[in-house]
Amino acid sequence: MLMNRIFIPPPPWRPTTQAADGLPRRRWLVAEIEKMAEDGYFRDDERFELVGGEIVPMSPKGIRHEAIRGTLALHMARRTRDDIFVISEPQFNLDDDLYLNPDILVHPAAIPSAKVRGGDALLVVEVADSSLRYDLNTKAPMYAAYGVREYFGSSTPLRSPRWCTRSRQAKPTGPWKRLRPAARWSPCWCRHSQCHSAHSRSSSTELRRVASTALQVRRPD
Amino acid sequence: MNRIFIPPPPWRPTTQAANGLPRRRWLVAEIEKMAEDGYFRDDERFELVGGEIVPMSPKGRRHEIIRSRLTFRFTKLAPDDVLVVSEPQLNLNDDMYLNPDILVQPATIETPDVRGGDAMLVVEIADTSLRYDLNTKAPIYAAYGVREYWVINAVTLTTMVHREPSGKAYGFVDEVVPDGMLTPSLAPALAVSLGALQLRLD
Repeated sequence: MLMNRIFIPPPPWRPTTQAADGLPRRRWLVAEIEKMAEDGYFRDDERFELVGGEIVPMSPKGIRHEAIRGTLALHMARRTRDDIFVISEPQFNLDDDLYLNPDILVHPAAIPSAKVRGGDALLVVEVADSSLRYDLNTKAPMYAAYGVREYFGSSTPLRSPRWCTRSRQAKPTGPWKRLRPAARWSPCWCRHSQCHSAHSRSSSTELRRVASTALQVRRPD
Repeated sequence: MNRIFIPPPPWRPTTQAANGLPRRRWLVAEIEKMAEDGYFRDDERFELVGGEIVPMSPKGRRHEIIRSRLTFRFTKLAPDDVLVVSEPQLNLNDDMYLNPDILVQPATIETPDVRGGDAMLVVEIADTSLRYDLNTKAPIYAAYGVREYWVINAVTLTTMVHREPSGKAYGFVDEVVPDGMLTPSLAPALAVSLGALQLRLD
């Protein structure tokens, strides 16, 4: 009901806070956040992740980020078997006080996206623009702790080309493998010999080219 | 039926998971609406510190004895135009409220409308929370113009008297011994000595 809606100040409206850094803070649960969203506590365009019970707003995505994400998601979806699902920006529920919105999540199609847990995920991709340090230093350990077997954190190739990956068997503390932009890579989950050739094999140089094209199309000037 | 599922105690360890990351800033109005909507347990007590929900640690026996006895004495001494409130929600800003142990305010203002500059005296009694009261809360009270702030050490019964707020600090800080006379500068009628209260703390 409209009258029940909370007053929310207009933008520029809600600078984030770190006021209680170092103090114990209330731990929110995913169920509560979902109820709050229903109850109209959040703006429609408000986007955040729930990190260990804390609401962490997401920084706005740049046009490069979106071009890379879109291109990569499309590329993967086109080359993937029917029993594997590629979803862009899902709410990835890792625990009762933790969900993240990775740029791309690849999981078995048999599991609904909302029910996928860390161990079910086949691949998680984060495309970083300004958030590379956050993606590598904060998110990678969380994904590892919840059993995500493969994680690509990447800077946007257009800015400083670099791909990072963990191998499937890597321990959570294992080293990053850095891939050059032109290096070909394929996700660990498509190692079957019979579908090897049909599967996604890509290089970020190709993606950069495709993404550049996308940028040219989207920019009127 | 609209009530959220809330796990039973020991139920909700607090979190510092997102230390150093930007976090969503809650407003007092939203917290009040959430309380109405049943998002919090009835016995859940917290302060809103710069838009963040900070649960309060449980109060010890000494803390509660000092708080109730001092409130009682203050109330007896208070003239008609001075109001003594124990554990009020002191709204300092649209994203900040604290629950001081005792607030002394002009009786002409309703407690929810009291702002920092209106307060005549704020008292915190520190049992385990001494560092929090001195290092975190003092700058907050100073920043919002609270003109006099006492921190009573529940163990030693010494009191740190803070006056002359400027910026995020107090210009005047004085330590008063248990038998020393504490005189609120804006409400001198409430002058009291903790020693004279004859507290049975143990």
